[in-house]
Amino acid sequence: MWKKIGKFLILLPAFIFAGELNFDASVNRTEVGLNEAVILTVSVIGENIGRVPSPQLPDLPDFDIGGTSSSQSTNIQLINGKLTQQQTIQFIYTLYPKKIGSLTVGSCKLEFKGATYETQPIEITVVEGKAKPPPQQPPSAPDMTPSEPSVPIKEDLKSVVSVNRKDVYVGEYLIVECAVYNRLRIGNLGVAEMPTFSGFWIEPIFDAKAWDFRRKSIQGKSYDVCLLKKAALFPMSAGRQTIGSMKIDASLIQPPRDFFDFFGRSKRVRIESDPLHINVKPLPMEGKPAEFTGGVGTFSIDASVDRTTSEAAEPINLIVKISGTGNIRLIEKPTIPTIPGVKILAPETKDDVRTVDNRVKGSKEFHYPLIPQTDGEHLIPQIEMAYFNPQEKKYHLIRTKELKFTATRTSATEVAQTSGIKVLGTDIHYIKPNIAQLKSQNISAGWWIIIFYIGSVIVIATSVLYNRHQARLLTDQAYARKLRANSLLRKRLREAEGYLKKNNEKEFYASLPKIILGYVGDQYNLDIGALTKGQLIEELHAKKIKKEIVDRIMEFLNQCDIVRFSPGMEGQELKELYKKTKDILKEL
Amino acid sequence: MNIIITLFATVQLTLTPAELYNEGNRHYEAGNYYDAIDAYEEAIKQVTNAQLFYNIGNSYFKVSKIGKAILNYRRARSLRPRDVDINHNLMFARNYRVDKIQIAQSPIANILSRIFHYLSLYEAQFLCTILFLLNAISVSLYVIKRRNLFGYIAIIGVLFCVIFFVNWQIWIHELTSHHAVIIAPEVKALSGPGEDYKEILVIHDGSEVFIREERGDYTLIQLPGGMGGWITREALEEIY
Repeated sequence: MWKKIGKFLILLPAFIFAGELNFDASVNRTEVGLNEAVILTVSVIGENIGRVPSPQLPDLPDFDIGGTSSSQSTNIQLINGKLTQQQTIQFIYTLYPKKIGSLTVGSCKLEFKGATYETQPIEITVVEGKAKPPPQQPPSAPDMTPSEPSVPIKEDLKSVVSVNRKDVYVGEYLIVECAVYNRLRIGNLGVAEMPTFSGFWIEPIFDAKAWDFRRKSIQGKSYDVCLLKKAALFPMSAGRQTIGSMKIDASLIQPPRDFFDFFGRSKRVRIESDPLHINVKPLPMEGKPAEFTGGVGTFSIDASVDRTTSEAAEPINLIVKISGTGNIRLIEKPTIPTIPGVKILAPETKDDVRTVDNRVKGSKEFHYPLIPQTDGEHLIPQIEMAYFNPQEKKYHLIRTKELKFTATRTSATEVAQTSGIKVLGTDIHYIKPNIAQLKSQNISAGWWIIIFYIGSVIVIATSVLYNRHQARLLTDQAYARKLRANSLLRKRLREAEGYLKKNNEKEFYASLPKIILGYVGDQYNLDIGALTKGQLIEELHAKKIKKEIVDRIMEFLNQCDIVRFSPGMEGQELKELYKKTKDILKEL
Repeated sequence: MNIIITLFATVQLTLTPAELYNEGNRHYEAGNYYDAIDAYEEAIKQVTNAQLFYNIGNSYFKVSKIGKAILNYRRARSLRPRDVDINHNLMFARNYRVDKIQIAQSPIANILSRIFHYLSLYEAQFLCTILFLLNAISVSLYVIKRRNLFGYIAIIGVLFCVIFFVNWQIWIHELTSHHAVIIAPEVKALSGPGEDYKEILVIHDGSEVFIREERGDYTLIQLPGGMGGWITREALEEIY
């Protein structure tokens, strides 16, 4: 909504002021001499015309258009409290009539903001010689007065286009110079037209950026000379070639006629140089070698490689450099003989041309990338080139020396080099293929892994405990005896049982106290054999064994002693005794 | 008609995951990506499988649902972190996003991230556990036998065990830190959990975010660069 209104608001002034635009054409005079200029002023007046395009001039077959200029002025006024801004843009054309008679300047057209404007056609009468002075002079046009004392300008103000030679071969360059010679008082100078060099390749040497006159003496007369352009021209085709004339507009300042004519008057003139004709000879056909690549002048050729080894089919640059004087830029690439096992790509060209003392010198380099396709040493044969020497009027053949380079591991990238894999685009990778079974995958392991950790802790704990046990066995005898007590007890019990079965009473009785005392000794780390009964009782009490158990042990021992020394015991009694032993051991 | 539909539905339900997967592949090859998505999604209800996630990601990519594609590629990657196709397509889909957030990441952080994402969580856990047990055994042997060899083995083993454990913890951190992907084409992030709050950001399909808080229908998300805002819950989906 707002956008639409905004657009409308912007367009509104254009519609209003489009109608108020004033487009008009006028000439400074309607009667003019054949060599005199007519100033055509096309003016556009209006508001907001800052971006008005240049008007379209009608076809003017009867006029030469000299210079073009434009001027712009702005006039701000306050009328009835309203500010108006009036802009005036003037396009000024200088016209030179070509023939005598009544000529018409057609209507100029202007297209601006959708509307087309046209001016009235203007009639101009052209007379021989000088016309009457114009009734009024536009402010922008220089003073125009009839030249009363005619000045011999032909000699004193000259536009000169000169060449150093007029008879050349195709490709042989000539130097052209465009200059203005002057020995008059001149106000304004302007280049109306530079000479045309059609049919030539132009190598610019100098282009003037400002009027820079230097005094020079020519045939006893001193001139102010300004060199406008200097260039080397290379004829491209045989035949008669023409260099067009250079046209210069000048306004001459006339000497004052009387005291009141203080500043003098000026007069506009146009001077033209004579067109030049160059005779371009074709290059002789006879003796023209096949190696000729268009070079005309004197040249030398040299070849080099930037590296002498190539790994993995890396390209080597073969640089063929042609240097000398002549049409260097126009020399085409010399043909490189085929090298077996090496691919030669199209060359890259670099040239460097400069002009010293009217001689076009320089060099041109052809960089051929060589891609080795087989391993080993490769030989670059001599490269030959022919050129034409215009002074000697004959062809010369020059050649480079042979070069060598070594290639290794060419096959590594050969496929890519020759078939030329190209990336055309990228896309996502394709889906995974069908499968017979789709199993669920776990993102993380289950709780079962804890078992491993517990297991690990157990393993370490066991080893530590085992280690401690081993150490104690070595250092703590009591501990060792206690540990061995049970196994020794079992061994002694088995022995006693053995005696019981064999009815070996004596041995049996002897073994029973050993069992008891041995076990007690092992268990409490006592040296039983060295103790008397009284000491034993004390020791056992000291080990905090219950009194009744000690009493039982002592009683049992006494009983055994009695039985031992009173033979004739029945088997029944033996068994009972054995059972009693076991009971005591249980108590312990 | 209804009966046929229900019958068909029950038949569908009885299909095994592999059959659903293969059916999805058939639809994908024929270019019916939406049908492929339906089949794959049905299979996902029954199994968790990297291959399945990858294929469904592809299908979503083909129908220009970049967010859904990235979501599924990331799920696939958490199961099979070294799969070339998964990584390639994830990168490819990321480049297709509207929001291109460039976070300057230091090269060291990048390398570390790549190292610690080389193994999946399962692999890291498994290796860490087995190595721990082997270490315990070699430590025990050292304690008993007092041979230096076992000591060296144990020291090296512990180093690796620590690496795998860090790997494991990084994965746990990633899985528990609420990564999510924007799946709506465009969503406006607000300054608070309600419609009336000011709009502060516009986020597009496929942006990977963290969920920082949830309140009602709104979630506070944070982009990798640090910006964030409240968005409706339907606009995003959590990866893990």
